[in-house]
Amino acid sequence: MIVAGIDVGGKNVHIVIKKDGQILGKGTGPSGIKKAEAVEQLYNEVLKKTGLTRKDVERVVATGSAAKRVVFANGFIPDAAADARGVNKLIPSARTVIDVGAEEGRAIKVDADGKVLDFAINEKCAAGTGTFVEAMSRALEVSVDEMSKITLQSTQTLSTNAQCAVFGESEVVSLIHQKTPKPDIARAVMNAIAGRVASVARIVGLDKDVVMVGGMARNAGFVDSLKNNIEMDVRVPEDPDYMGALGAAEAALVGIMTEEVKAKVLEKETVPEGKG
Amino acid sequence: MGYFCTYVPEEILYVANVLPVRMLGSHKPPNLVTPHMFDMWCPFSRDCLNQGLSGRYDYLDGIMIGQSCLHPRQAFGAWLINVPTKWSYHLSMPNAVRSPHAKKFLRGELEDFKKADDRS
Amino acid sequence: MPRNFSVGNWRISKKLTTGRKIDDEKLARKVENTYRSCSYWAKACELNKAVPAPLDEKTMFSLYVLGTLEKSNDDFADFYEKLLYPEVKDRVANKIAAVSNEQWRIIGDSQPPWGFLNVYRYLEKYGVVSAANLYTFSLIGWWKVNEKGDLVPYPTLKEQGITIKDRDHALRLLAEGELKGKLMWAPFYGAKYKVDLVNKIAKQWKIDAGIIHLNRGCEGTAQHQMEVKNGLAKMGLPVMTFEGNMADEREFDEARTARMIDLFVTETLGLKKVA
Repeated sequence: MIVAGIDVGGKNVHIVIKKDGQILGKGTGPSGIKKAEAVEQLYNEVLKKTGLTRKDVERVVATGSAAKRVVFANGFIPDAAADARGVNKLIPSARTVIDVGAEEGRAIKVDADGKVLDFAINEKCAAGTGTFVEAMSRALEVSVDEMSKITLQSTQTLSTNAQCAVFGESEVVSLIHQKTPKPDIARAVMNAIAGRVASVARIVGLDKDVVMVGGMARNAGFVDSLKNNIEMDVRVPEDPDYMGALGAAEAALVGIMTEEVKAKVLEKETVPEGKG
Repeated sequence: MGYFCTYVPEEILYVANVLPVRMLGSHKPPNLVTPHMFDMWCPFSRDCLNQGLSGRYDYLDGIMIGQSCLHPRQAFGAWLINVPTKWSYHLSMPNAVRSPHAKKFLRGELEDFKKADDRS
Repeated sequence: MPRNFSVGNWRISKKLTTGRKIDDEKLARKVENTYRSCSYWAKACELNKAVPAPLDEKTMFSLYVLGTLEKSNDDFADFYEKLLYPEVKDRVANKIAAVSNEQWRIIGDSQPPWGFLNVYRYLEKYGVVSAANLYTFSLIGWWKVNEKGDLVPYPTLKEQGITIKDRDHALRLLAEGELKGKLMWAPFYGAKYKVDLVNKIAKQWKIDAGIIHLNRGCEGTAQHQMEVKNGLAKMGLPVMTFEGNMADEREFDEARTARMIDLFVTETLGLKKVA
């Protein structure tokens, strides 16, 4: 069976197409303002890349903050549940999943089957999200990737405001004016975000293995700061930002469907031959 | 004796040969506190609790609060649940300080506190 | 000879500073009414221990309004004693449920996000009924802990066999009820006190899970909410929290909260939509 998992976030769309245990193709792109159109476009691109048509895909499950923009989805699954399923597939020993994306950071406690036992979300605060890193990288006049690299070159620990993204940005500007080395500023920013994320994670408890996913998991500087803060190892799977889409694809494999679709499937299955 | 806010009558503590220690925060992010006191509360109060949770005040024989505002009160309550504490005291303070009853009220509270302090 | 009575910071003389006279008979009746309103609201809440629960919290927010506004009012006290309580009792006897497909019973804490009470109706789509909340029970309800350690409604003056003798007696009874019976003071008595009380409610009202509104709009009722969460979790109950503000609608993210509820209810509680 060929299935698709589509994760529509505030900033990006991720798509994974699977056939049974194998990933046939994947893709990512900005979700933009017109998310439904962005999803359509990316989906068509990924299908083309994998040499498939829409008819080949039997089930589509969507997740993410804008999951409902996937108008052709057969089912939906909450984003934290998608993360849990995706991580469980790749790292079955995971018990704490930390997902930091562009607009939200969350911690998820999972069991051995990838079920969500508890969760905590960084609400009402940009200081624990990828958006904050982008803002800080602009203040430092470096790219986000560059900021990640220079974080690891830091030689001293600075104390910064860890409470608020707005105050944090003006603090970075002050540090720049004081001619503080950029790596040290970058490290201070990453430590501040890591502190915020770790605080949220401690609500659900930090049990091994701790796995990090989402776009920020690609930021080596941030992952390093997080490890230092929680004093535990943090595992990062390959393509960590695809975990939601992968989890949605896994959900599609087990038959997660909306009630409407279920009713149609049921009707189809019970209609006698020769009718309908 | 650790204490959370300025209203604690340190004079009574000194007379009882107790060293009052005003609890303060640090200059590091309060990492341990969110599971006990969520983020809307005063950062200073949360940071004080964080010091207790991190074990930085493990030399204290007890803690007390002179009731001032709800924020350190949260920290005090969470401390009592999560940090082993031998002795604690909540000293009520009058809100309506200009009321003719305020002095009498506070005197009564201080007398009760003194008795409790003597007994401990 | 005018007598002056002190109740807390009040000083009530026979002639108030307005120049009007106090009607002591009316005062006695008002105090009796307050006891009736507060006791019978608590009794109605107590009936929510039944399975299925006869009342859901959103409905209770409408029903407690009268007592919130004027619990000493004759008609309002009659409403709680002679109309509401018997009706809820009848619902229990006939198993009339607030949520007909009741699957899980949850406990809340603090006021809800007032502009978004449809959160409760959303939960009901999953068969989840909000059956208990220290705030909803005790804003006007008076309670006490009996010898067995159970939370029970505070008795009316009639049930206590008390007849008000004079003005002093009336005012002291009023003060006693407010201080001893009103458990809405519980958040101010310390974290352990509140946690123990909420745990007691969760046990007695047969609660399956907690959904706590971390309410930025009321620092009083929001005292110790994370410790309440921890306390319920230690009892083995799944608990989720969501941030909001009862007073400022701008601080509530309805879409995000709906997603969190979906996650909690479908994943952690394992429920599907039944309505």
